[in-house]
Amino acid sequence: MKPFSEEFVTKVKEVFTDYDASHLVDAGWSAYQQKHVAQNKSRALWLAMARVASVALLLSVGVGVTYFFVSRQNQSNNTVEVLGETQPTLTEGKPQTPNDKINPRLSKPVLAQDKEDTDLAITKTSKPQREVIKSISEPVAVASVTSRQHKNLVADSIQQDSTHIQHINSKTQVDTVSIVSLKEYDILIAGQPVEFETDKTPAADKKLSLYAGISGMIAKVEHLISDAPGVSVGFYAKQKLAQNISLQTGIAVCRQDYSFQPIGYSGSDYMGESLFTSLDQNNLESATSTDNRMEILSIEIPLNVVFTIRKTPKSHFYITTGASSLVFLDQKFSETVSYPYTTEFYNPQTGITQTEAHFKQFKAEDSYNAFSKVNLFGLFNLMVGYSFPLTQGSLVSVEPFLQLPITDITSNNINLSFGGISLKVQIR
Amino acid sequence: MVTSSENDLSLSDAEIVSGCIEGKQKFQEILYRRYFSYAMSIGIRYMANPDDAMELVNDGFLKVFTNLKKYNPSKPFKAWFAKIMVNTSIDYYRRNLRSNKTVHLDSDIEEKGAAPNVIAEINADDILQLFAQLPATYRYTFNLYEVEGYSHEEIAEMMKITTSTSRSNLSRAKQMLKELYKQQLNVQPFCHETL
Repeated sequence: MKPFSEEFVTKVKEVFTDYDASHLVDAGWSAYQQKHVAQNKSRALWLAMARVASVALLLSVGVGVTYFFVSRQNQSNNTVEVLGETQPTLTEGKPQTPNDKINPRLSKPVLAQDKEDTDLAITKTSKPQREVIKSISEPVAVASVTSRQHKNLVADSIQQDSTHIQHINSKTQVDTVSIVSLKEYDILIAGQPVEFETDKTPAADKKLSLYAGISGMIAKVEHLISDAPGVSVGFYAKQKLAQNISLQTGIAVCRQDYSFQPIGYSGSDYMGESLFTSLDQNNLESATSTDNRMEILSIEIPLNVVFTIRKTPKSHFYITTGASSLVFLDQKFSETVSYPYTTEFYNPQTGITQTEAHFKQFKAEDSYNAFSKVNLFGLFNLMVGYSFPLTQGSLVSVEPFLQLPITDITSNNINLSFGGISLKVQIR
Repeated sequence: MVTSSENDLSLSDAEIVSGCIEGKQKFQEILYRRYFSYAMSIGIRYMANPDDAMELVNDGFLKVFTNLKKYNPSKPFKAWFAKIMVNTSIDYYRRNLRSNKTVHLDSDIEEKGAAPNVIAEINADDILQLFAQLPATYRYTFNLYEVEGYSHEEIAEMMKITTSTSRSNLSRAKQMLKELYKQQLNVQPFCHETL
């Protein structure tokens, strides 16, 4: 007599082989359609958002590039603007200096009364202009600071320097002076030589910054995860668009060369159709994936928007989001599966036919030529970054990142996503 | 709306599949209607509840329609379809892994007694009633091993458990089914029964 479990299993198989759920099929189909419509809507929404984002990014690039060239053109003109409020500090009754005659807008010397007013610096000036402004400012600054303590000396100094200024003016047309900060007056009081830093913009506040970066990442394909990291090396440019928003692009070479390990059941679309076309269906049913290998060399072109979320004098926290396009230079995929089969043989000694179980291995391989696949905005990028100064004028950025597939990527159309960390160093 | 007309019945699986690949909704509906009961027969064994089973089946169909291009027409469609349905149900299990806690048997259920006789009249509802009382881990292990024919190694990999846990789950599932069957379907035990 059969044990309960065997009999029960037989009954389960029998009952569910002829299981009839036709009375639920209409309800099922309606539910399916609703689900399908909802999913299509969501997919269409994502697609539309991706398209809008792409257009917005491209427009931003256009605007950014135009702005960059226009601003460079403006810099090359010999015009500078007075941004700081200026106050005349020369003592009453003193004769007007020849400065007044040089330029009506400079008729009142750019001088300071107190600490706040001395927070000035000269920016946005070309090199020759800086020289000129420095020449003008130095004697005036001397006059300003010392006017409180040595009024007579000031008057003498100004008169002596006026000849010098007139001489400069005859050589170069200086209309206005852009003045933002002049802390150097304090140094001057202490008897130190004045050094006007005309380009003291913090590294993170530069309009256009260039970075070199290296990234390490792990990859995931459905229920498979890479057993070694991939590497990416590239150069990136960041253009500031607004106070806390920048546009980032670049070019990177990515190398992925590793095996995948299952983190769940081994069913995946990793090999596309290769296994389905190569392996017998019955064998595929019982096959177990033993080795999945991927070798990819690609060029990645990211287009990201950087949102600064917290800025301190020494560090920045930011979130970067955008999309990356991929151009594949080399792609190789392979998957080895093993599947069981049985053989029967007759044992003449015992007179019994015995069954033996064996395993067979099958390896499917796909390889593709260079440029055989381009995934335009195929990956969605999300990074959280922290940057801090490395040297004066340069920064180091540490960016943990996630790259999620917007579309299936590579020639095998696999749902490949990446996660890792990126280290970037500002080189300009 | 398409109904199962003679025309639909005369269409082969390959014809329906190629129609689905072309994105024709009519063919999708024919395929859905043709394989719905079969899909439910798989789904309901794992979910043990018609509503959840239908949700699972619809998710499975969505996967089927999305991946039909990968189906090799020279191979039997039903086996490919079944594999996708089983994988979908395992996805469900894995998604709800935290809530699918292993339940230890009560001492009275663990008690080994004479096994009941499986009456010939047992129907699908009776079986589902028993399945519904099994912890998901036991129910999945039982179905994967006994009905689908997976090995304990494969089940262990799918369910993220060890092989020995899979064996133990199966043994407990059988014990529990036997006890539940005996208690709830009020069957007279018979002697010399082994598990």
